[in-house]
Amino acid sequence: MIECPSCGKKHRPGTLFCSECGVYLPSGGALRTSPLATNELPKSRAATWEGMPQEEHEAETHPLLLKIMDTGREVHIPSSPEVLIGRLDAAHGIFPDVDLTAEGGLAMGVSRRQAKIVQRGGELFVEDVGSANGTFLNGQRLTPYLPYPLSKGDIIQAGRLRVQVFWE
Amino acid sequence: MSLESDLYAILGVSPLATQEEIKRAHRALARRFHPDSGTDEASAERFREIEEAYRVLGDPLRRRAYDKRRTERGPDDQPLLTWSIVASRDRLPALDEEQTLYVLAEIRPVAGITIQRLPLNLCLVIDCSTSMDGERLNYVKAVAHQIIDDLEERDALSLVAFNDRAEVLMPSQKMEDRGRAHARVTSIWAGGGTEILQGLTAGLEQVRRLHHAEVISHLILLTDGRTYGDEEQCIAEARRAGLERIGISAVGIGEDWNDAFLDNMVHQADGVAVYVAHPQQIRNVLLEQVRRLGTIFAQQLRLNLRLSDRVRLESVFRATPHFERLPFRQESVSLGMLQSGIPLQVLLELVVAPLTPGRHRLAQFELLAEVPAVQRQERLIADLASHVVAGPVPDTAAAPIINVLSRLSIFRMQEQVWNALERGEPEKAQQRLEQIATRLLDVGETELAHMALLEAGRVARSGVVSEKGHKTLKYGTRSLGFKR
Repeated sequence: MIECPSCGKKHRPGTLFCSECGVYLPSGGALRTSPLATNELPKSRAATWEGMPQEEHEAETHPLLLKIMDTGREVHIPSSPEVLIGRLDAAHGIFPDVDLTAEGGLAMGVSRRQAKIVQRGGELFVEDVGSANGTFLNGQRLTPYLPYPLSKGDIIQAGRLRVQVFWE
Repeated sequence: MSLESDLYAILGVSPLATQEEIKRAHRALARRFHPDSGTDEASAERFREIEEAYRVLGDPLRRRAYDKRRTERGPDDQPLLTWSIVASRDRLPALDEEQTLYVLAEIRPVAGITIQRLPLNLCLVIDCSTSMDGERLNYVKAVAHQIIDDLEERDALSLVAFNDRAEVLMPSQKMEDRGRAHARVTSIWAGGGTEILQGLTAGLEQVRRLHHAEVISHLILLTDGRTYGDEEQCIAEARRAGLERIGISAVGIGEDWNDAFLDNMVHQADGVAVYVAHPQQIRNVLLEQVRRLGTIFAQQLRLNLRLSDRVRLESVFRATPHFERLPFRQESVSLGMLQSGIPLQVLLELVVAPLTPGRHRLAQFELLAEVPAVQRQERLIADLASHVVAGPVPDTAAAPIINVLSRLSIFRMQEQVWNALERGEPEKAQQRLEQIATRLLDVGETELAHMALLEAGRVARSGVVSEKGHKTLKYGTRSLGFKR
């Protein structure tokens, strides 16, 4: 049996929501991202910001392939103008497109809302959306809420987890 | 195959009926329609039909052969329905205890298929008891006028008013003379009590007059009160109507109607019951009900499960267009109707007994449905298998399942509130209501959350919930199924 981290009610393994208090059971109870020690994160200067093109001309968005480097899992995302990376928290209505819960996202310092990949005018950008431990692009820390241009094969680091981005 | 000659429809039984049920239905019908029965229903032709249907269905061997033909399709017939079936885990851990596995089935018309809207055969059964007098009845009349104007000429309408007895205001007729229909609506007045069986039987009689396989026949009951002593008969009437493909829906106005009874009644006949708190809402709710009837793609949907002996069915919920716990009998679930624009989502909760590592077949699903516009019976089959592995399996489930479950869990907690109150456990009910409020706030349902907190306070003080709170929370959390 598994135990609800919030109210202690016992459930059959595989149960996803506590019938007593409605908590999402795989979340493990702790919902807050704990801060990582500074030596666990890349030491670097802030990435330079080049800005995002303002003109909004219609262009095709690319399907993405994200490789989670620590486990080798590949996530295919059908073309979408915005892709959220984070940890799923159903109770708070956070359903990221790339859910890092299975990679031990909580322990690795991934926020529920960590970063998003934006496609605009045929180009790709990554933006930290106010994560607890910061998002890094090829080892450089991103200023939150600023979109940085992405190139194929770039490595985005969320907490301690590293994700490599590819597209057609 | 044509539904008009459907032998099950002739006997008014489900295709899954037992031999005993078929025998009983046959006996009752034969007695009713026998040319020598002396009743005014006596009909040699109908009797012959009934005997012919029983000759086949009454014999298990002939019945099996007929069932096979009934669901067969010609090689040129394109399927009209499609479905996807997703399990919460595609690999299961080998455990020495039981585990839960969720399965989400989503049923929809095949992309690109449009069917023409069938003519409606509609009956409005209007509660005219004293309590309806004034604002409520005025709003009902106003929307009845609008429905008369909105219907097409090929649609049929009948009007029945009831209190302690029923009055047919307008017999079932095509919408060729709208003036007469308008005049009939104007003549409605209120007085007396509420006896739903009276209105229901009079309304069904009108619907049956113009009912055949190529119309959508539906009765909509508008009531604000409780019926006493005739609930069982109403349910039986509704069940009979359901087998004849006549739908029944209900609009409950205010706080005094019996929601458990109406929900049960409409479930028998593939309909929905809706709660209207304020008379101003009657208009939109009723127009939406009529609009919905025009979008029916398939009806009499039924899901049959063949489970492996290591698997049992724990519960079944419909997730769209609203949450509903679906009763199941012998691993067979009636799903009601499918609308064109809204995929039908059904969530199954299975319990899997300990399994050895390796590939296991867990279940086979069979979906049966009737597409009335083209007079066809559809059948879909799918298998569910899973790899059982020795090591640990990650806890993540498919996103659509989590999405449905996160909102369904609120609906299920709400069910527990009423159960706790019935068992005389107000502390538990109060605690649940507070937890529901928290979860509702999480998903942004501020008003419902506020109502849950108010009712939690009421339970703490007096041990009961208000009827308004009960209905608002029940019908409010139910429609969480259709958000997002």
